Amino acid sequence: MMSWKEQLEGKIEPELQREIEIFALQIELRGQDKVEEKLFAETRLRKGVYGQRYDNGVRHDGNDVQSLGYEEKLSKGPNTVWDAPGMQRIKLPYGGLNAEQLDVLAELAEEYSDQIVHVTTRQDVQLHFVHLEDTPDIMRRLGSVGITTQEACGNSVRNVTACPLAGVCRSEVFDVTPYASAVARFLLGHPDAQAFGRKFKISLSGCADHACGLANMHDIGLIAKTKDGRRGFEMYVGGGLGAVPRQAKRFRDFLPVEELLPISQAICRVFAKHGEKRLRGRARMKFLIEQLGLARFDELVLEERAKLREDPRWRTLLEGAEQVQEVVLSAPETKLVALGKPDGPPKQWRDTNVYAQKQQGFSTITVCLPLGDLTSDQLRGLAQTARQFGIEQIRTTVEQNIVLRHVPNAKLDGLFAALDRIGLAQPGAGTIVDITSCPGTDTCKLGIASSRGLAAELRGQLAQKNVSLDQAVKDLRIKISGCFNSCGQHHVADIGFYGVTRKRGRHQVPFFQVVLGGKWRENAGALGLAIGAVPSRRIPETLELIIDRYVEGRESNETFQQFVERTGRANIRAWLDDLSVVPPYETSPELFSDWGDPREYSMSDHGVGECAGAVVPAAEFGLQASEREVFEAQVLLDEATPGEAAKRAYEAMLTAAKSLVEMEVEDIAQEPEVIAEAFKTRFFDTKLFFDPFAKGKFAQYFFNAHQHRDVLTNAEGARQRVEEAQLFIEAAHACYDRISQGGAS
Amino acid sequence: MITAKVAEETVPSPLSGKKYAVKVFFEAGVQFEPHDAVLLFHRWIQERVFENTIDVVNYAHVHQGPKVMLIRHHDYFAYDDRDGRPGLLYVQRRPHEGPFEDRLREALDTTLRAAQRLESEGVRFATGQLEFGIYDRLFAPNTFDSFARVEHRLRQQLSELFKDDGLSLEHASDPGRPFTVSIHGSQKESWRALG
Repeated sequence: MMSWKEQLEGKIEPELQREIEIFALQIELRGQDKVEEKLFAETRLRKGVYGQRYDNGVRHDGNDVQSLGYEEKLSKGPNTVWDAPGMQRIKLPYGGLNAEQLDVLAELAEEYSDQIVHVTTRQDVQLHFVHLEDTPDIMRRLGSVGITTQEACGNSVRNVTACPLAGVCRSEVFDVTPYASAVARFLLGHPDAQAFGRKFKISLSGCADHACGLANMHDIGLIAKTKDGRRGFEMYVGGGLGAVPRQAKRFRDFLPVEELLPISQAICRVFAKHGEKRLRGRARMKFLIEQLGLARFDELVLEERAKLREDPRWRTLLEGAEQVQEVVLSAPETKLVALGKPDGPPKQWRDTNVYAQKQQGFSTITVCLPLGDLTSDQLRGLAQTARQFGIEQIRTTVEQNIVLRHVPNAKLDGLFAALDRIGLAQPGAGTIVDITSCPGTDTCKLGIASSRGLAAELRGQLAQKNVSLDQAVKDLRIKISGCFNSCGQHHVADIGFYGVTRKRGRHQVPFFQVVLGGKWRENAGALGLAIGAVPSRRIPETLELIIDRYVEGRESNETFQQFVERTGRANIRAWLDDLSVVPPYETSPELFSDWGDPREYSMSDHGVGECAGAVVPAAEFGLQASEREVFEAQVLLDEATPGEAAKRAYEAMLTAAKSLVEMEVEDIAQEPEVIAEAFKTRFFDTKLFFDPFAKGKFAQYFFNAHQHRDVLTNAEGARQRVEEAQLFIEAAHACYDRISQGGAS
Repeated sequence: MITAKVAEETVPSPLSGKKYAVKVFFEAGVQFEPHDAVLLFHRWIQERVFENTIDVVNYAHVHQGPKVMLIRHHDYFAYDDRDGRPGLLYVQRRPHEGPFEDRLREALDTTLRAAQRLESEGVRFATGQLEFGIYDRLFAPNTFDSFARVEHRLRQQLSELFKDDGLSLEHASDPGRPFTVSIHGSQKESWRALG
């Protein structure tokens, strides 16, 4: 039987390959009910395998709630049916992609999803309607072109984002790309970043004035800076959007690049140790900093920094960062040619989608993606275009677009024509038509209103009149979230909307809360405030009213934020009064459904989010890993490789022992000798590991295996080792349970 | 014979691909837009026209592709206008097991059942052509070799199904796309005429 696993053998980086095979095994074990539900849910989330709307097995069809008839099997998480298709998030550090990767994404969308790849507001991409059983093959195929889904969701360090213009930007202090890459690689799977109570987001920006990195809304925000000729970062901590947005606080005026990785590591340790674990709504780092105060937080970070053992990767990952030069496959042209000729790119596209790079003769092109979506054919067409025009680096953006960098100016005509052929030459990048939206009720379990439906409607209406719009209006940004969680980043838009609901008689009505005055520029320099809620169907006229009043009432050169401030929120709210009234269902039934969805609106599809997953103590992951290893040992035994089986069984015991030791000793060294000794002194000598009947017998199995770990074993000896490992791991589980329940004796 | 058998066993056949796709095309000038498909597919869910339906997905904003989908557990139907040619596309997202002939018949039956339903709603099809695809690159890369290995059995099976000995099969050779064969035959009155 041919498989992708065999087909791609040797083409995936070994560590990633092993992670994928472990996940495939975990799916199998969960299928046999050998892994706990919450543990499996967090495990799959950390692989980017996320839930999707209707995965609880029911859907409201507008009249009734229908059962979706999924096969009755185990769940893959709380309220999540095993058989229900879900979403696969794919991490792209700093949004970086190349042509080969685009081709693979196109194939995956075609074969496992719905032919659409969706670019997210954090430079990731997502596939929808994916079945759990297909995810290992998806990961293998991605792994073969250097992409991982590891830690794309769950309580982990999420995709590290960066300005898509990094390296080509005219106002950047330096190119942050190699640093973003180093942070992403360093923290991926790092032991100090595994025990978080919630997700953790990092972003890098090349300068303070422009929006691109959005440093102010991240757990760690880094803005490039130099001091006395040395590179470093102005560092911000504790920012975040969500239901309770917070702007980040300045933590270091200048953090030299040598300290970038160790200080980031130290911050992760503080968050893991002191962050809230029980109350999800208070578990982001912004709340920890608020609770501790920045000064105390700083003290804790410095304490952790002082404890860190020197890690060579702090340096090696940054080697050559100052010399990084993006590969440029085409020769530059210094003259911007033929942009205005009749068959060349229209002026509107040139004005909004072409950015003159700091490298003379080159431009960066923004490819506008309506709602962040593109088809498999478009992905392939983009890959082909990139190859044809010698474009090595492609990046996704947090505005759900794609940029093509290092395009020689002389080739802009040709590039425009090539993009136009695949429907990717829409103008309006970075203008009011370029609306950002989260998935909302289309696919998100938490969605309250149709953010994508509304975005499509507004985009359509605005595009028609874009040319005639006042320039001050064209420059505004609109961002839409389907609920208060702010995945559409509505807080940092000039005009933001987020989904809410209201009741009128027996019926529910989709509404959007209007949020005004946020600032996209200056790295998300200000957060907008809610003005009032309006029925979803009336948002287009609400928007028109707001922009008309702005055009009529603005004083010369007044920004939208200044206009909102001067007018006063109470006055603006009064404009919306009439619009927010909902007539009875019988007279205006259209208000009781949402954009792009003819069903009568209902909240009954609203589910439980998986954004964070359950908080699973690190020891439980360790014990789970030991179970998997002993299972692998069993398989090796069946394959008649006793030496390998005995070795793996010993490793399983070591993993279990380490999981327990780490509950008591932080930063335990990885050497088996050290772990065995610590286990002996802390769990055996103290009798903490003893159970009432076997006493310390199972621990002796481990000591024996440790002592004879290098001795060659025959089949019989290996079988005994595997059986003993099984018993030792069971005893480790029992010991963990006693300790966690506080009943150790 | 022995040589042929060895070759068959060592080189997996494209026919072993587990996910098929079929597209039938709307008649030129048909008045059926993506917005109509959104309304229709939602209604089909309400009326339980097909089993295992999950949701309707609206991608009307994308350029030439699957604009509106009726997602089912293992597969989906789409209002699709790839290459500017609107029609009904059926795609299997999960592997289907069984002999090639059975799986081909199943894919065609499912597609034509939806097409017939659309005809009953007033949508007319160009019934002299369809596309058959294998969305499974592990077994069926989009190469001429794949086509050569599929052509005979595909023609045989389709001729039988459509009672048409004059079918012409043409390989759509874009190597990036999934394996696709374009099939032309005699025009029928409607897909419903096939029963």
